[in-house]
Amino acid sequence: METLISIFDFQLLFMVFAGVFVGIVFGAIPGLSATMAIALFIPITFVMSPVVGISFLLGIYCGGMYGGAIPAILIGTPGTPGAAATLLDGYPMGRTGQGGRALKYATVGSFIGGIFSSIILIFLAPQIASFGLRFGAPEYFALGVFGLSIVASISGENVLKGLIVAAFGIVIATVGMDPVLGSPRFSFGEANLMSGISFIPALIGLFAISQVLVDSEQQNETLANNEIHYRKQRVPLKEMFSKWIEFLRSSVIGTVIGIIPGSGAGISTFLAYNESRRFSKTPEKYGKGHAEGVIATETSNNATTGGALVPLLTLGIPGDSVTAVIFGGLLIHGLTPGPDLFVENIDTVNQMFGTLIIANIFMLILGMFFIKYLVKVASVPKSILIPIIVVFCFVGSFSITNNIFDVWIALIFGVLGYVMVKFKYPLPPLILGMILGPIIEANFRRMMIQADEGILIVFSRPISLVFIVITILTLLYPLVSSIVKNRKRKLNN
Amino acid sequence: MKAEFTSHISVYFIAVVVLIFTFTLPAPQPVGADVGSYFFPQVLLITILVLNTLSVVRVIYNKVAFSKQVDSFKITKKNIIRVSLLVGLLGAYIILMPIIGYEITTGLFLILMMLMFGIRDYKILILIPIGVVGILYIVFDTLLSIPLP
Repeated sequence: METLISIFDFQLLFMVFAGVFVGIVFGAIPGLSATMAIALFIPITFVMSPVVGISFLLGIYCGGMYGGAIPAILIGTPGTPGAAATLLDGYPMGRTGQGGRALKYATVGSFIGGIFSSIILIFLAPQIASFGLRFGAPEYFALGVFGLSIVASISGENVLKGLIVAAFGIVIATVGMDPVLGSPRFSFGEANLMSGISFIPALIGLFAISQVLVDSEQQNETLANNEIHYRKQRVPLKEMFSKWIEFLRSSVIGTVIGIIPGSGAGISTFLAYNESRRFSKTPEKYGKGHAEGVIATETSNNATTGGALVPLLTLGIPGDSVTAVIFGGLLIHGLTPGPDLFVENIDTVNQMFGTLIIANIFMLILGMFFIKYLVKVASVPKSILIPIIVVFCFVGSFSITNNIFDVWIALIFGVLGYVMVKFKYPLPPLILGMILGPIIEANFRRMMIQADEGILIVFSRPISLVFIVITILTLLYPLVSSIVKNRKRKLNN
Repeated sequence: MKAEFTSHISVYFIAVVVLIFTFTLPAPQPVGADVGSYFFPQVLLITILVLNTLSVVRVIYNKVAFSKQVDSFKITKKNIIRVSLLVGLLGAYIILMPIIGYEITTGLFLILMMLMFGIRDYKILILIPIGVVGILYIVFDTLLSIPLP
């Protein structure tokens, strides 16, 4: 009861609201994203209490996932990867003057999906966390390796490149102090490297500055032209309620897909869209501006938020690239995601659950009543926005340890991220490697010291064995399916 | 295709150089059954070399099997120059911050970057830097007590 009362603190509510607002704006501007927004604003949360800071980031997460629908519907460009499926019916609605209605459906769908997955998170997370308390070094090692198998899912087309990047991420994470012997490693006598590569500046560089460099390639005319037009329209409540099956089905799909590490909104939205069309009595209307198409995609999109937080909070395994960044936010507040979080910081966790629900309510309010102003903010030309973002990136990087070296880290990782994007190497596996590397190495070496059978202990304990088997299957599946696809393409050619 | 092979050669080069470092850098003796400081990075770097080789094989197979595929890397000389200029500007910004002062350097940086992106309206070029620096000072330094560079 005390926890419930504490979430109605004015400062907390204000920061959740601000987070949702920021998230919607970042999600609504193509080229920016919830991932970038969270990376950018994590340093600002440093001076806040853990609950307030994390709630702000969760607000950005919820708002950012929804914000991508605005440009998808109004200008035919998805603001976020999760909004790509919303284009299919959202943009035809926007083109035929039904953009206002489409946005109303998107707003309500995002709200229902977000609330549904938050409720599932609240009930499911403690159960998984109590299971995780049985883990020892072999289980944590196997879990870390399993987490790397997510790479197969978030690498896009080229799994091999994703694995290379993840491995480099783990190597980068070895810079600093040896976790067992306590001696410096790869520091080359540089005092700033003794504690390793700062995670948050690397994150800011990789996701924010690299995007700035990519955007800077666009013509100046393109950077200046960002105008979005919007006309307010109503949807009768009766009409909205009549689609309840659509909302429910898509909420379930989004939540389940979100729970599976590495899946994310990119997969859940298209799956929900396909299922919606399959169950529809009028499938021929899909793709031409059908409201059910928008409902399916946007509901499942925000339903992944609660789902993706399940593996992050309970096992310390990010569910998607956004939660990988939120991982950094939790660390900066002294909260280590995993089963122990539910033992040592249960009050904080419960407050976070409460603020997630509130964030979805604020998202509904902003989407229903203030969308006109959000569209105006999102219409700021990139030629003005990008320089401001860079300034914030550098301030944020500096503020972690008040060290200008971290600003250089942000720039170096920004250039690295840009080069990776140009040569088609995926970015999220690098962060995943940096997060999971220390978990894998520390537990591997602990395992080798403690167990007589060495690494073979992983195969003799049931939980770790299951993780290893799933890892192998998860890594092999995309490779095998890619070979089969290439063979089919060769036959067709 | 050229871009693809360039990236793979770069990966080989970086992995081999770092691997050589792991054998030459001083490290304390491991204790008991511990594998030592550089075992883990060495295993990873060798894994990277193997994965990179598999990736090269995949590229060659795709080139032979699908020779009509278009190279979609979009790496042009114009882009490289523009991005290099921007990186140079960012580097100069970081270097000059502690020398000239954060507020002045940020103002100048914002003006130069907006000019680079085609903004020519002098009102925007003056008001935006003043506004941003002002907001940063009020929000970060005064309200949140986060020191500026």
